[in-house]
Amino acid sequence: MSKLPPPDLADLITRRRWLLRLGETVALAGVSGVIPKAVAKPLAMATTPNATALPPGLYLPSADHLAHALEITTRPYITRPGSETEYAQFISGPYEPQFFSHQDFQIVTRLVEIILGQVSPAALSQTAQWVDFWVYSATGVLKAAQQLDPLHRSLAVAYYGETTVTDLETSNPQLVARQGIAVLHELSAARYGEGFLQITEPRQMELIDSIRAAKTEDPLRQFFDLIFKETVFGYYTSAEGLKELDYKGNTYHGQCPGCAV
Amino acid sequence: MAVRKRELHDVMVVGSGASGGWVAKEVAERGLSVLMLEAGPPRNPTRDFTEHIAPYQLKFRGFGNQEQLLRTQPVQRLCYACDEYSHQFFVNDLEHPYTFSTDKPFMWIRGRQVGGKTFCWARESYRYSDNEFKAASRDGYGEDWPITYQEIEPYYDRVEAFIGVSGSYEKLPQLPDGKFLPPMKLSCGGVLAKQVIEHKFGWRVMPDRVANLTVPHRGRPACHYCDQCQRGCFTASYFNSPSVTLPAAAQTGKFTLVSDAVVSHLLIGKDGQAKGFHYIDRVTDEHREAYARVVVLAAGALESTRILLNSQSSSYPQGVGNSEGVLGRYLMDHFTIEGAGGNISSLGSARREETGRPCGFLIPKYVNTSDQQQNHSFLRGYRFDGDGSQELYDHAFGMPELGNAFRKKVREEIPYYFAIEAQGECLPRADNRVTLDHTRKDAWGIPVLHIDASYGENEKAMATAMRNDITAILDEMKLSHVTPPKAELSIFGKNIHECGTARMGNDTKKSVVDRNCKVHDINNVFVTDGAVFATQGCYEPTLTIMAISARAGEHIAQGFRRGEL
Repeated sequence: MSKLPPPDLADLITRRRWLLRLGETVALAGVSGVIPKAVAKPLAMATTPNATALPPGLYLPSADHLAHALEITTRPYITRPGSETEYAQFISGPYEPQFFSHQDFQIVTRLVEIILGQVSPAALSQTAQWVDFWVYSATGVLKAAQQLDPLHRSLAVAYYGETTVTDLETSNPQLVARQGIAVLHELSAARYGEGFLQITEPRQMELIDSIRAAKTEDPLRQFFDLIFKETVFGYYTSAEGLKELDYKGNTYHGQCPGCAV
Repeated sequence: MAVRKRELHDVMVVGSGASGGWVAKEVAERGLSVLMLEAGPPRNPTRDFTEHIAPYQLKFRGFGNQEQLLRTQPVQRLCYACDEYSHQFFVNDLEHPYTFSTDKPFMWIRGRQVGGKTFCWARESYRYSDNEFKAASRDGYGEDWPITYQEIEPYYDRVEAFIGVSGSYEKLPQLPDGKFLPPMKLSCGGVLAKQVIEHKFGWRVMPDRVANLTVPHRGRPACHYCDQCQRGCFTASYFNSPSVTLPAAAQTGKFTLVSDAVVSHLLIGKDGQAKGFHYIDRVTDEHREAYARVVVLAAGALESTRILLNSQSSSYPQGVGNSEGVLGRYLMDHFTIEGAGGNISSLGSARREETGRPCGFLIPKYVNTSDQQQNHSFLRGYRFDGDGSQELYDHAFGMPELGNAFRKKVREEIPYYFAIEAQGECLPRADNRVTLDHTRKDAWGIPVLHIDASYGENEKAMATAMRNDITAILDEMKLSHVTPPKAELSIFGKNIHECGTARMGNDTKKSVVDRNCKVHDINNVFVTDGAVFATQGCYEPTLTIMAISARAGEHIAQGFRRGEL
């Protein structure tokens, strides 16, 4: 779906950096890196001959597992046969939009750029790709929601409430996107005599401001809100977005994070 | 039907989770041969764990393949932990149907694999006290457990010492201390909550007691605080049976594990005793039988009861353990009042904090624990849990800015969110029950359960008090952007603490198993999971499940030694 981020960005939130940071390290056979003694010693003790004789499904903490965990940050991620996890795939060459036409995808990319400002070309492209992929996937979600077994639907209503479930069964992001793009074309042409991509940046911003000021049921407002929401999700789940947030989770900490006060 | 092997084991255990692991360990370490049947597949860490995977490494950025979840896991997807990272640890609902009335919704969250739900559990580990074991004697409702805290205390000690539980010593009579590893730190929101709540209300605020290692323990490294526990743990730094109890059983050389074995019913001999189990190979659909002198059901409360109900024969026409019609009754699950929270303005910051503690704080039950803390509008009580943390990027959605100014504000104006919820005790009621629904079968042709459960007036009265207390806490915390507690009680089953349906007791007309978890009606069938709970208090049941399983395992081994089994 999307191009994976360059290694220098991806590595920033990895355990490898954390491990190196600790200083108190020891090389452990089979691990392409270093791990702290505090972890290495019990791991080494756990890797006993008996451990290899365990029935399938049982495991002990081991260097093999840690090595695998360390490898995860390399590219591409190698999916183990039988894995039920869907990992992001590499693409080589230019991205082929799955829902939007090439021209409309340029408009989406420009809207993402307006929302995010100056981000790297890779992050901009990946975020726009996420928006395209999410809209593309929406039809399957809509159909699945409409085909929920009555018993399962009743459970969803009890859990989320009728309004949320009805929204899931009726919201059509592809329709919102199609209508939104069309109305954007019309509005831009009517106001400025040119398409959205052809008008100047101040005029683009003028249009966006008027769209954001419109009522929530306005088709263009709905379209922009959709693009905004998925841009936030797409960017802040990317390597660059997480780095920008200085996110300090999903990593190795030497001590329990907590209040320093 | 293909009968492959007539090997006779000493003990056969159905289910490989928290309960089955302890039974297997205890009996194998005492020299008995153990065959364990697990309905699900073995998990392979390097294939199935997603610990330390970043959202951008997943196809759906961690938001999940919603179409697939709706189509194959329409129930499981409602569980907070069943997401793109961890859905593989939850069952396919199309293969595992159950029925309920639409006006009594029930969420049955299930994990079928070697290890059961222990990959995904929230690891909260609290001892019950005689507040729970003798609740009926205290307030006159229902039945006491036939065991006391004093009797179960050594088994709590044994379990905590083996699996590793971090916690603080609080010296509260209603929440006994145990054998703890050092506690985890509180977040700054937790520290503030402790100061405010203890000062204003006099209620204790303490770190959660969780089965995560804060120091290396018995060959397992300490937690590294990635806070991704439900995705599997390469370093086995929290308790799950495949890396803690089951290896201990396996290393005795007396333990055999058969995975992908979906048990249908008990095999009953002409003497009225159990011979073993009939099971179906999950993958090949072959029907098989396995034999043992003693059989133990540890498949999870509802599945164990389903197997007993489905074990109908001339000796047991209503199923094994159901001579008095008690089997299937007294289903319980904690209810929660959720959704409450707000921002702590004083902790808003431009600097990102480290995050990753796998727990928050707990306010132990105080109501109806002593003469000074009585609320006569309901029986029993509740406890709170909560935590504070920085928002990651949720605050971005409400921002009016665009472009660089927008991202700068997201990065530098980080709100600090505080959330709190209450969890209350569900009274055991005879009309909250499960029965077999013979009109529907699961993927292996086994009749499914019909679940008929709802919360009653006591729970609703308790919920009012819970909401009032939460509102008072939110007020006292001086939060901004406050979200009040929800008006609704959580759905039955949602908290995945289903207990009861084969409860423990001395009176054979009012209970299914005795004080040692043996089914009253038959001499060699035991039930050791949450099904046997007579009450469940307001605390998570898993530590108590493990303690009674260890106790039952020891009892079974002693029975063999004495020649009684």
